[in-house]
Order: sequence, then C-alpha cells, then structure tokens
Amino acid sequence: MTAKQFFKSTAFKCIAVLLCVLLVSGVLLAVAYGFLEVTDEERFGRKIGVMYNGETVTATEQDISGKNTNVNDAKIEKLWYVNEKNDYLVQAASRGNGGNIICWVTVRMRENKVDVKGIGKVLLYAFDDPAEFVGNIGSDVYERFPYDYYDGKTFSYGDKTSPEYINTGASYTLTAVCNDVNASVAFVKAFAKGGDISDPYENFEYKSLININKSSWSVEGEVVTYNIVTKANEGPDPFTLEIKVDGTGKITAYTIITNGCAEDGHFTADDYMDMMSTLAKDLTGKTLADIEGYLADNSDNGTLHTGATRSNELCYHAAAFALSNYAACLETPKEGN
Amino acid sequence: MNKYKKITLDGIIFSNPTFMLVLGTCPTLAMISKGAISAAGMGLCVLVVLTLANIIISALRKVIPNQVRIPCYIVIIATLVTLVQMVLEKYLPTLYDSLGTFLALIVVNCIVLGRAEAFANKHTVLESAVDGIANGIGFTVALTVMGIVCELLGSGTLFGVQIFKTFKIAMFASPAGAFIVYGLSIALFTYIIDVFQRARRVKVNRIARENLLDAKNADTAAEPAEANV
Amino acid sequence: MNFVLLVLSAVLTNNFITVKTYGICPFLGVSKNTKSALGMGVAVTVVMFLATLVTYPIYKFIMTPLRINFLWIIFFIFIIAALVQMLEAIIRKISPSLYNTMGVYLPLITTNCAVLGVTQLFNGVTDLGEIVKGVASGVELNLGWAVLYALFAGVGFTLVMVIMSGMREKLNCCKVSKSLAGFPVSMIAAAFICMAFMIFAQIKV
Repeated sequence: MTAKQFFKSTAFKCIAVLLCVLLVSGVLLAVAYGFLEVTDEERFGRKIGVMYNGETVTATEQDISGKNTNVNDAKIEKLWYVNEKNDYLVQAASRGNGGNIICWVTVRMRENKVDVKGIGKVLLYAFDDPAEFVGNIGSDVYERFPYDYYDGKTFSYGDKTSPEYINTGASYTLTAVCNDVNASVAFVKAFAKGGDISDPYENFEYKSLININKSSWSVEGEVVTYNIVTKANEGPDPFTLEIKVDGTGKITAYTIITNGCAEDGHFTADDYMDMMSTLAKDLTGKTLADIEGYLADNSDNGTLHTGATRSNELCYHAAAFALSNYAACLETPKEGN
Repeated sequence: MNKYKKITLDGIIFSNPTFMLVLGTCPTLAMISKGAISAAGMGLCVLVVLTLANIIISALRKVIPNQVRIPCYIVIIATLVTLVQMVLEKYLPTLYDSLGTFLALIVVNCIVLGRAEAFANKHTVLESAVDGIANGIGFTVALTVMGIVCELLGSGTLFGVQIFKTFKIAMFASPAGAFIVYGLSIALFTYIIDVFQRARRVKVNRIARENLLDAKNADTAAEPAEANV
Repeated sequence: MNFVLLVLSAVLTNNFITVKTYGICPFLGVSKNTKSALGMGVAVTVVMFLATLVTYPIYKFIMTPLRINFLWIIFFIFIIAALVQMLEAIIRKISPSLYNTMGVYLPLITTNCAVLGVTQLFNGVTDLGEIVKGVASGVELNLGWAVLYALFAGVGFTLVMVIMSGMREKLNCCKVSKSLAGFPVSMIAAAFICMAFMIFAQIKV
C-alpha cells in the first residue's frame, strides 16, 4: 500500500475523524474549564453559605495556634473572619453522649470589630458516629441561640433547674451544643481584642471529669472544704460532693450531697447510694498516692469495677482533684456559683 | 409540518423513553426518590444534553465514518455532559449536589446514545433537534410527575414546600418506593395509551366503514343510473 | 475489621442495585432466568474489578498531577469500552464455552452505569471512611481497598440479580393483568427486594 492509498483509505479516515473529535472536545473542555473552574475558596464560601441562608460569602481563616483553645468544656477547632458580614465563624467541639458534637457558630461583631454584638446562627456541623440523640434536637432548638449579646449570658440547657431548659431527651448532646456556643462567644470576645483566654485552672490536675465552673472551695485555717460538682459520665448524672482536706494531705471528710446514679437495669438508686456511701467511708483518710493507686488499677476486679464503674470513677476523680490541687486552692478560695 | 408533529408526539407520548421504552431507568429511580426538584433538574439536564447531542451528531453524520461512529458519539456525549456538569457546579451548586453522581452517568444513559444511533444519524439537523427536545420533554415530564408523587408520599412536601404536616411514608423516599411508583406509572401509562388507541382504532374503523357504506350506496345509487343509460 | 465493614457495606448496606440504583437496565433486562442473570452478574463484577484497577491509578497518578481531572468522564468511558472489547476478544479466543455463558453479555456492559459508577466513586477520595461508613478516619484509601470495594460491589450486584431472576421465574407461572405484565410487575417485585435490603441499613458493627 502506498502512502497515497493509505491517506485515501477508510482506516485513515476513521482514525483522523476520531482524533479530530477527541481533540476538539479536549480543547473545548479545557477552555470551558478555564471559565467555569470552581476554586477551593469558592467551595468553602458555599459551604459556609449555610450560615447565611445560602448567600455566598468569603472568609479568611484566622491563626489560632498558640492561643488557649480549650475553653471551659469545649475546644475551639477553627476560626474564620467572614469579610462581608463582620462576623467570626467558630468551629467548636465538645463531648456529648458518646461522641464529639461539633458546631458552627457565627459571632456577630460591632462596627469597631472588637466588641461582640451577639450570636448570628448556630448549626450542628458534624458529630462522631456514636453520638446518639443528635436527631432529637430540632432546628427550633438551634434557633433559640441567636441573640444580642449582654455580658455574662451563657447557655446551659442541660441544667434541669434552668428556666430555659427544654426536654429534648438529649440533654448531654444539648449541653455539648451549649458548651460549643458559650466557648465560641468567650473565645471570640478575647480573640478580637487581640488577647487570649487565660485559664485560671490551667495547672489543675484531675479536672477532666470535674465541672470547675460550678465547683467551689473555702478555706478555714489549714482545712480546705470543697464543694465539687462533677460532670456527667455516660450514665450517671453529675454528683455533688463535699470533701474536706487538711494540711497533712489526707481527706478528713467525704460526703455525697447529690447522688448522680439513677435506677437502671442492674440496681435501684438506693442500691447505688449504699455503694457510694461505702465508697465515701473508704475514701476518708486516704492520701493522693492511695487514690492514684486505685485509679491506676484498671484490671477487671480492680477497685473501679464494682458494678458502678462510672460513678466510682467520678468519686475517685473528685477525691484526686481535691487532694492534688490542695496547695493552689488554699491560696485562692473560689466562691460558689 | 405533519412530520414534525409526528416526531414530537412520538417522543413525548407514543414512544416516551421513560414509560414506553423504559430507558434511562437508573437516574429515573434515583431522582424520583429524591423528590420533584431533583427529578425535574435531571430531566432538564438530559433534555439539554440530548438536544445538543442530536444536533451535533446529525450535523456530523456525513463526516463520521460508520466504523467509528459509536466512539465518536460517546466522546461527543461525554463532552456535553462534562460541560453541563461544569455549568451546574458553577452556577447551581445546590442542584449539582442533589443530582450527585447521576449527572455524570448521563453519559451511559441509553436514551442519549439510543436517539443518536436510532434517529440523529439518519435525519436532518432540524428533525434531530425536534426529536431531541420531544424526547427530553417526555423524559422530564415523566420524571417530574413521578418525583411529585414520591415526594408527596415520602416526605409530605411538594418542590420542597411543606404540604402535609404529619403525613409521610418514608419508604417512598427510597429506591423501594421509587420502584413501586415507576412500575405503577408504566402500567397506568400503557393502559391509557391502549384505551386511547383502541378508541382511535374504533373511530378509524367506523369512518372507514361509513366511507365504504357511502361508496356502496353511491355505487348502488349509481348503478341504476348507469342502467338507465 | 475494616475488611468486614467493607464487605458488608459493598454487598449489603450500600448495594449497587437496591440502595444506589446503579445498573438497573441489566437488572430488569437480563434477569429473566437465573443462568443469564448469573452470567451478567459475573461479567459486570469482572469488568468493575478490572475497570477500577485501571482507572484508579490513572486518575490518581496521571490526571490529578496534570490537573486534567475534568476530562475524567471521557477517559473513563474510553477505558471501560476498550477493556470490554479486549476482554470479549480474549474470552472468545481462550474459552468459547465461557464466552457463551458470560461473554455475550460483555458488549452490554460499556453503557452500564454500575461500572462507571464504581470507578467514579473513588475520584478525589483519600479516606476509606468516606466510602465505607463506620471505618475510623485516618485509614488511607489505596488501590487495594478500591479494587476490593469494586469486587464486592460486583458480588452484591450479582446477588441481587440472582434473587431477582428467581422471583421472575416464579412470576412467569402467574397470571398478571395485561397492563401490569412485563416491566411494571418486575419493578414491584424489585421494590420488595429493595425493602428487604433496607433492613441491612440497621447493621452496626
């Protein structure tokens, strides 16, 4: 076959046409892509558009490394400044029932860009899979958060004595949402002024299960009397405990004021109260080293595992908290909340 | 003009791609279970791709050699789908998200390739355009109607607007419900067409018979006249 | 553990036919008897497996560095078409009996959304957890996982095809009213399979 024949053959025509079609398509798409490419910023702008009813906005991420991001019970994960709205968008996470609840909160600023004006919108951004009950919290609940700020306003829907308490059947989850919101406002308030939230209890030990905000302690001579409110611990509700620690580093009194254990499939509330009272008696006279020993013993028949493991954990942690922070608490008593 | 009327009627009713030919079932089922907006959006995307593909393919029908026609069609369709995808992603991101992966799967939608192969490579550009629009409308209307049914039953809303406060059968917002709605819609559609065509046939027969009788009468009336001659 | 989750997800909880509604055309078209359903299912599984094996590295190591991801539809469909042609030729040459049971379904597969659907599933995804629900974040998606997922998605596809063909063989013995016969009654049967598979969404590992 000569070259001339080849160029006239069907095979050549087929290849030529196919290549032409491919080439034209490729060029056309490349040109179109140049006009229609969706950049990463645009994608993110759309994503945060949900905070502004679908309006597209642009946001600049703020550097929060080096700041104290653990605010009360929540952790500030990310912070953006929304250019068009003079808002800060905060992504905050805190622990709900079994998993993290991550919220997006817009904090509106006054014209001077320094003072907080209020909360714009609160949305559930994500949650860890084991976090149950998130579905119980309807959009109407999130709509209760936006407000114009006045100093000191915090949310605590998990607190059953609060007049704003809503029974959603998901109090831990809702508490986590409240923590996210409170922390967001507090963090932005400090961040916009160029500062940082100082955590007065930063150096305290054994505080992971203690609600320091609600706890208090008073000093009489060498004796520190703690009124400790624990957190809930995936089962038991918060305990309120009165613990006295003297100068020798021993617990001299351990009283259970509110029992967090409710009746469950295994025991009644009274059974639990008996168990806890025995525990309280045992704890009297113990030192920090003793308690640390109990906490470290994680074996199946260890001290923690009596059938009320999580409640025990709370009580031991409270004792450890009281003992280990004795020196600091002796210096600065804390008023009740 | 009659030719275009026939193409249009065929595309929308008598060989409706969704109900009569049962083509493009995957996006149909996925989109009607997601609701009327997604279904209508999918229908319109197919309408655009189908019409443009028909026009381009029929314009190139004399250039493209027979042996490589299928690959060429696929490239053309894939290009159009990519373009539609880009435009949607840029200007209608919410619709883009709700169509999801099925937007790209228009490429392997049998309706588009089927019309290219069965119609566009044998007809003029104008006829192919009309065919594309007619089939696209047939597909869109079918999807929208079924989408409305599924959305009303499945989530009590209509185009996203709340209609029923408490009524909702969640199954209809899933593939299972979509299958039931689609199956029953086909049955209903074929039944209606059947009845319609039977009625038309009866009418045609009656007219034919009357004509025949008239002709006979005319004959019998004419015969004596002839006889008189 | 991740493997078990992947198998459960691909075969049951995210079944391609009953949950994602991919590949409905062969599901309704080639499920008249069990033999052809099985042949089609196996053919689809093989093509899904091979297509992922080829397209995943191409997308990740050629298209992404060159920033031509937007051309993926054209690339993928060509790769799948070429693969199907090659496979058909090879099977016809090597084993005519296999060709008769499975190969005849191959040409239908190029325009099967299940194949394009499974290959595009992995586009731009870096974490296995994004595809298989329940896998902790941090497990990187690599070629091995992708190919396994495609394989088991094909197994799930075949499973539902065979179940459907069994139902349709029974349906053949029933008297169905004229307008319901054919597609409508098959679709209602399919709806029941879907409902059965909805139960699997409750699986928690």
